[in-house]
Amino acid sequence: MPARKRRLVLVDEETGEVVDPKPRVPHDFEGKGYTLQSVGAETPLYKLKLSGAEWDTLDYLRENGGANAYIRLTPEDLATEISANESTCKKALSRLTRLGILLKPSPRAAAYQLTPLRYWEGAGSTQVTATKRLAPPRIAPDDKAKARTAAKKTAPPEPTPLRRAAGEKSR
Amino acid sequence: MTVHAFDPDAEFVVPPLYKLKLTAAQRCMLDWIERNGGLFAAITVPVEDVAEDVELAESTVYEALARLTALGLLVRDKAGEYRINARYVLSSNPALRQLFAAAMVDPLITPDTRAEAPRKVSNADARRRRTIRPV
Repeated sequence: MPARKRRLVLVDEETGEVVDPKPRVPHDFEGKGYTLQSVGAETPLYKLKLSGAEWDTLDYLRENGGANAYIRLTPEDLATEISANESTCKKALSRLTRLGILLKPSPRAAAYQLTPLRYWEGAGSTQVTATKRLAPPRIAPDDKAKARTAAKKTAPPEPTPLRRAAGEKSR
Repeated sequence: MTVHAFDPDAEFVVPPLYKLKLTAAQRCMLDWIERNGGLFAAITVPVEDVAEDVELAESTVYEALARLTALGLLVRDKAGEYRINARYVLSSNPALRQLFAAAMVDPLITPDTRAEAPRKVSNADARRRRTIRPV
């Protein structure tokens, strides 16, 4: 007797109707190579209205090991490195932490790490582990990022689709 | 004629981006191009659409493209398309820089005689090949 073939279908719990499954969405990667940034999973950085000092802070951390571990960084040190005021650096670190791009081991610590949801250096498996361990918040646009210029105020901003990143739990 | 030996530490030194005093608009443009595939291939940069997407004035976009091209961060081809300088990847990913530097000075991987010989099969496989099983 031939084995009975199981057939699984999606059923709408309310109506009892069989629902067609959604087609698979092709991955952004498309075999074009290997990138160390999780591009596509988060709000684009250029949409966050980051200042020059904030971009420089991200670059500094990325080039100094901040993409896979906490590194000690004070606004004074950062100011020397990126040729900016100490207060500007303090504001930059504060805003990037509020946006969820930078993580701190504790609220009063002077150490920062780039969120593994967006930046990682190392194997993909360790990125997944780090994401599970740190459980970083999603990069969320703040009021400054949401503020639109006078000319653009008429058109509503397009919502950015949210997708789960590698190792991230559903919320 | 003097031939200089390849020195990865000298060849792969790229000034850090945070030392170039880029404006926020210039960083946004670089991010937009990277996000739209400009790291792996030359792409068209439609200035009007980009200005709309990044919420900048068109003139700012033109200025940003000009400065990034002058710095060498962007490479513009004859067709007017832009590609990000591959050295930028080395600048922003120090681990990759070390890997590439090591790859340039490491010895070549050369197949030996064992590699060119036919693949050795296990005793069990050899026995299986010799035995003709009745159907």
